Amino acid sequence: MFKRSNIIGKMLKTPSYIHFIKSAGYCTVQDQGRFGFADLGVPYSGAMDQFSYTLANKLLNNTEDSAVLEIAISGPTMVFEMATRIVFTGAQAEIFHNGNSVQLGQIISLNAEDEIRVGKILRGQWLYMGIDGGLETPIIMDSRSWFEGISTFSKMQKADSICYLSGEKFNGKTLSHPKLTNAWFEEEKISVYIGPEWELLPDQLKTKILFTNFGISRNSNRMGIQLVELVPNHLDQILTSPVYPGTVQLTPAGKLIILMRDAQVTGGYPRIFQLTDESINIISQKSLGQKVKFNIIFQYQNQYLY
Amino acid sequence: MKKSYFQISPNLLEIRWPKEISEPILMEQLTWKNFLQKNHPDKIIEIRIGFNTLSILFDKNISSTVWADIWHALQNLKLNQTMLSKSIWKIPVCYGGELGYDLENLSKEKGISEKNLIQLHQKKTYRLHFYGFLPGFMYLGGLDPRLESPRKSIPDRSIPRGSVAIGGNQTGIYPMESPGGWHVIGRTPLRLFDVNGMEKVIPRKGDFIVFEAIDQVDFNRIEQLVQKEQYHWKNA
Repeated sequence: MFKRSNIIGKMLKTPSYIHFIKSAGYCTVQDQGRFGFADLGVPYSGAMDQFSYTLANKLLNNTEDSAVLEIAISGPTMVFEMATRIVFTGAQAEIFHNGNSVQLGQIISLNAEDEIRVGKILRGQWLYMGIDGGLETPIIMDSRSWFEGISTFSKMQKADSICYLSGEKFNGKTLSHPKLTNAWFEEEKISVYIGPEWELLPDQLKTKILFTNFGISRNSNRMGIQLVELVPNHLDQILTSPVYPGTVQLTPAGKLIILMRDAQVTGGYPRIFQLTDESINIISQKSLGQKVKFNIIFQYQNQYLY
Repeated sequence: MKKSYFQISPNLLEIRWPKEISEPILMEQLTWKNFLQKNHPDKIIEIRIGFNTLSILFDKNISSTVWADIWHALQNLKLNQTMLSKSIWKIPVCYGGELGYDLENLSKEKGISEKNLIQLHQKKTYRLHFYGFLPGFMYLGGLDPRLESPRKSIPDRSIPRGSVAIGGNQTGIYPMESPGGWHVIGRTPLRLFDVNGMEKVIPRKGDFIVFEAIDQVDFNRIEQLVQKEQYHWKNA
């Protein structure tokens, strides 16, 4: 990865726009997330797959909190007003620059009026488009991440335009694009720590949960991922308690819900697992019907007394 | 009160009190939260509280010896009575009718007249324990047990902003439009959450809330003041 050693002189930047001439299946602006407001009930939000998000910004030598486009289901068609550089990471998808196919991880230099068309998502769930300097959308409560009720916009529509800063010229060097694969998110094992209510489960249910291959259900979105197989149980409800992205809840109806980036900050269902940061990224990219298996990687000695 | 803690992940830990909604627990939670934020601002990223839980997110992996010291200090902490404030915030509510569209049904289900139901709801002072569920949604303790009612089996697709509702053993206000399963008995013209700044979320954890019945005329008047940012929250 190349690093700038000296930056001499000032690069001129001009406000410019990406015009969405065809809408995407689901497309939002995301960054690292909105931290410091959970106290007021405000979810973190932020890119579902923080690994791919971070990679996109690294490849462009952006600051680590630069805003990107997050795309699901199918992609938009966009026209860029002025020159810039972009890169795609995350899910495998059909991507075309003025009709020519481009790869994940490839730095794409765009000229004024160039078109980028993203077709179907082929493997994975979330595709990221990083752009030189990041997207220049409004910062609300310290973050550019879109979330209904907080940001003015919550979903990109056809005919929307979004601001970025176009550089007059770029440092000549570009990164040789790494061949990005989806191997990292094919892993079936989801690494977890045990949650506060895990020990309340009878041993038989614990074994069942640890030996089941759970499928990703249709009821999955930025708030949470529901699993298909049910775990009938008699756990008592808990008094509303803190939950985080990666918390796995078990409902009275036996549904397992893995809370994701837009999840509420508190919940009333028993919490049986907490995913590692890495596993949250992996599971975010799992598609409908794909299987996962929970793997407890460590149990702390200091636990609740029941 | 018996407390224990549970380390969830290398940098996340939760403390738990007995399973009840009570003011002594809230006072201890707020005392502890205050202590942690004052004494360990460099180590702690975020503290959240639930009715009987307090979770601490550390900036990096927390070692067992560092935690043992903190835990020891917490348990020897003198409770700070001032943590439970005496502030009482008045929330004007227009009960029933179109704004409180479930009041009639709830009144029939409970066998309590609409008038009595409103009185029971208004008579209590509610303690704000914490915010959760939605930005600006207050978890309030103190609902009259006679008003407890199970959540709807099929949640409403959309509950309007400002709706005052009852669900289970709680009452609350929807700070923004949202799906929800609670019974809507009225609406407040006040804004419970403002993205333009956290200082605009008025009630603090540990404050009291009371509901004050207003009619449609007052509702409209206050709503206009709120829109012009000329309304000032009132203390009881």
